[in-house]
Amino acid sequence: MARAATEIPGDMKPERFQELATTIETELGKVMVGQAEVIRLVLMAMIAGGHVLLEGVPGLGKTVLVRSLGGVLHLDFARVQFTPDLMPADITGTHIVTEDESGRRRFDFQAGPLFTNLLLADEINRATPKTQSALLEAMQERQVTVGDRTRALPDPFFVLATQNPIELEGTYPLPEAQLDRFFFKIVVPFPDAEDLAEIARRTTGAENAELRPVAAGDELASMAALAREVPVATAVMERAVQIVLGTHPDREHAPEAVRRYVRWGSSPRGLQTLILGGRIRALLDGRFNVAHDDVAAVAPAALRHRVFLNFEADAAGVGSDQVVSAVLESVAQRQ
Amino acid sequence: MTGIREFLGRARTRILGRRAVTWAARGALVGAGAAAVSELAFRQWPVDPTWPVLAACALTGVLVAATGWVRAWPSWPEVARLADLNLGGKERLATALEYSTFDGYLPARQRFDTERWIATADLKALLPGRWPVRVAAAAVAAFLIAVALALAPNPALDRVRLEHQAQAAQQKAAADVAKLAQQEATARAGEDPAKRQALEQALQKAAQAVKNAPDATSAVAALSQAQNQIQALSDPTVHTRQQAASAAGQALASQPNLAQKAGQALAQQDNRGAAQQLQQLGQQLASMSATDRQALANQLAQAAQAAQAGDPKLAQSLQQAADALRSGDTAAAQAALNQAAQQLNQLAGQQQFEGDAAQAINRLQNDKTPLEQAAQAEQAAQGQGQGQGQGQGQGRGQGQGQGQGQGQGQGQGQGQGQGQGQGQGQGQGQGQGTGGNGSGGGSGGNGQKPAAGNDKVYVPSQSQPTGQGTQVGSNQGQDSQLVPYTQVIADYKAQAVDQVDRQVLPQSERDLVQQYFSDLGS
Repeated sequence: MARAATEIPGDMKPERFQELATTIETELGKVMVGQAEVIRLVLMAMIAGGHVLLEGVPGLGKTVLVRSLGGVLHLDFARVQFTPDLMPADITGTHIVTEDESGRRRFDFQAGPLFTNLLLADEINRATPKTQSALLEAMQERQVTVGDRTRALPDPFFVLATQNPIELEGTYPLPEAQLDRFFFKIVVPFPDAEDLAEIARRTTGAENAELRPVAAGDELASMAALAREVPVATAVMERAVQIVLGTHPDREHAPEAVRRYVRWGSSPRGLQTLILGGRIRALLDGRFNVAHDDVAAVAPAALRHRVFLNFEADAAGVGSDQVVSAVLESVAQRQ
Repeated sequence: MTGIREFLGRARTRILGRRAVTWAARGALVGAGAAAVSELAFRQWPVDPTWPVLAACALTGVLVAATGWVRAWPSWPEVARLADLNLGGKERLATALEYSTFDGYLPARQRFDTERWIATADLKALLPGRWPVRVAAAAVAAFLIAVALALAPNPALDRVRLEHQAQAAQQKAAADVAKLAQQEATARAGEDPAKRQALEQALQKAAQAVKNAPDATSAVAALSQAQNQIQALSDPTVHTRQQAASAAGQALASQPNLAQKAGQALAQQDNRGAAQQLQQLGQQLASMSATDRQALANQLAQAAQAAQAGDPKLAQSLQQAADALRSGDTAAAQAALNQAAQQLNQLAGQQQFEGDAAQAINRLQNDKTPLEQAAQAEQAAQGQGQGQGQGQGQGRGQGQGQGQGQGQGQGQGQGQGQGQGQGQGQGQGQGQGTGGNGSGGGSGGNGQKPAAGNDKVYVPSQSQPTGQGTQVGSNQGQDSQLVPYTQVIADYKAQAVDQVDRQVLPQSERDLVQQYFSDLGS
């Protein structure tokens, strides 16, 4: 009813959608060994127009992934190493005094690294909350305000932030409200033996993998537009709602793990992420509707940073992934 | 979308079939469980008959099954959801159904994708492994328990059933006796109206007493009392008088004159016919010759002598007639014969009453039998031996002479009692020799071939004995209409049973008669 049957959203056909995604994944697979799931989740987040928080120990290729993405997608790329002395102006930009040919001096805005399409915020938790807030404002509003002027960021604008889960000394954990602004939180797993050997072969030899740009930013926008048209059955929507509600310990059907270990459950952004992520995953899977499996598949990445655990969970060694799994199991059994 | 709808329709049929099985099993479990519980309850709180309760249990099971099945009727979204879930449709069907009216590009592609998936889907995999085995097993177990409980002895239920049987027998006996009272209410000519009224009242009272009796034993007692009352109405001299009348009849029938018909009727105990013949004889006296009058007077005197011992009044009337004839006073003779006819009519009426009374006693006895059995069963079920019982006795003597002048007397008595009851019987027997009644019969040779094999055997329709004693086997066969042998036997049997029923005889003797004719018939 909303659209004629022959009209294609953003002129992007599902087949092209799949082809592009596969090509991007293939290209990224040249430099990222054994991280297919991470690549797919990052790609999904970018199609959705969301930002990604990558968590993993150093040396797993997080920076390589982001840099490669910029090359494959033909997007501008910038990298900022967050440190405790990093100031907001260091990332947003600042006014500097310049002198023109006539010798007149004036303040010109010198754009910071935020003014790019693809920003790698490396070890974001090492910056002070003040700087983190400046970045997070830009992530949400897709604009920065310097002085009395607000400037829009380039479109598309993606932030891929990383954080190290082991070196927590001297870090500033991201507040809950700021974590909520990341579309996915992706845990980068340590490669297995086979993948490690492959990494060694690829990075220590004479040949370097050459990436070719296979898509542009406007095609990402078309992919996003198509994904938003994917039908979602009421039952699937209701189950996604139940999953989100199930992360709240005060809800009737919350599982025992949630009641015991969760301090605060997912925000509505979690539901939006579940549905949108499910839509994209369905298209990537060659389907034209969202399945329960799609929602369940994206749930860990969508909810693990939106479920806030209490001290008892820390003491018991229970992570948010376990809680999310309990919620998924509970909801599936109930329905 | 047509393909999707058609697929969903087939899926719904399968789901409904599976749910029908499921709910049938649940209904069976409910019904069988309720029956088992009912059977258990019957042991504490017996109900008779039990079939309405068990039928209600079965009906409850059916209702549960039907209601559950109807309530479980799946909607289209539910069908789609179940098909997706069990066939791995990844919500294709649910989405296609929900977006069936959407015209967008992706909804259209989604429907197409769903139809393509349907072509590969196997509906047989719908709801795999969900047969209600446990519920069905529980239903079977409950059913077996219910059957076992139903077959196992239930003393409480047996007691109730015996009570109901006793009540039914009581009601039936009361109805029979009331009906009998109505039948016996009609008085016949020549009998004592007071006795008839007493008989009717005794029966009515017995019917009321049986109806209101608190138990079968009391009802039996009421019937026994009625039997005694009716028995008391009997006149023991009736048989003696009948024998006397028969003897007088044989004396009158000895000579072939105008009194012969009256004598034959008397000899055959047709007292009313004999009375009519005597009246006619009295009217013909005036036209008789002196010789005939003398001969008739002698016959009457002989008849009076024959009747003297058993019926002095009849003998006196006959003797008066004989004397009057000898003296030539035909008017006085006619008056005496009319008086004798009147006495014979009274005798006929009294005989009729005696027969009715005996029939009433027998009917009461028939009604008593099931009541006695019920009372005994009740007592046995209660396990209580009665320390005292009722003693009832009836006795009556009958004597009948037949044939070659040899009288046979039968004394019969019936005594029945329960517990410590005693039965008493009295018997009387009288025998008197009279002329034998011959039976004449036989069929003429009409060329009919003899019966053989499975052919039906026919006998003449005039099967009643009509011959005289002097004509035994001498009358010629007649070309009369033939009737089937079995029909004749049935007629004989009906007559015999009716006659036996009008005599006070032991049940075993009556059964013997029945058996005799049954054997003939077979």
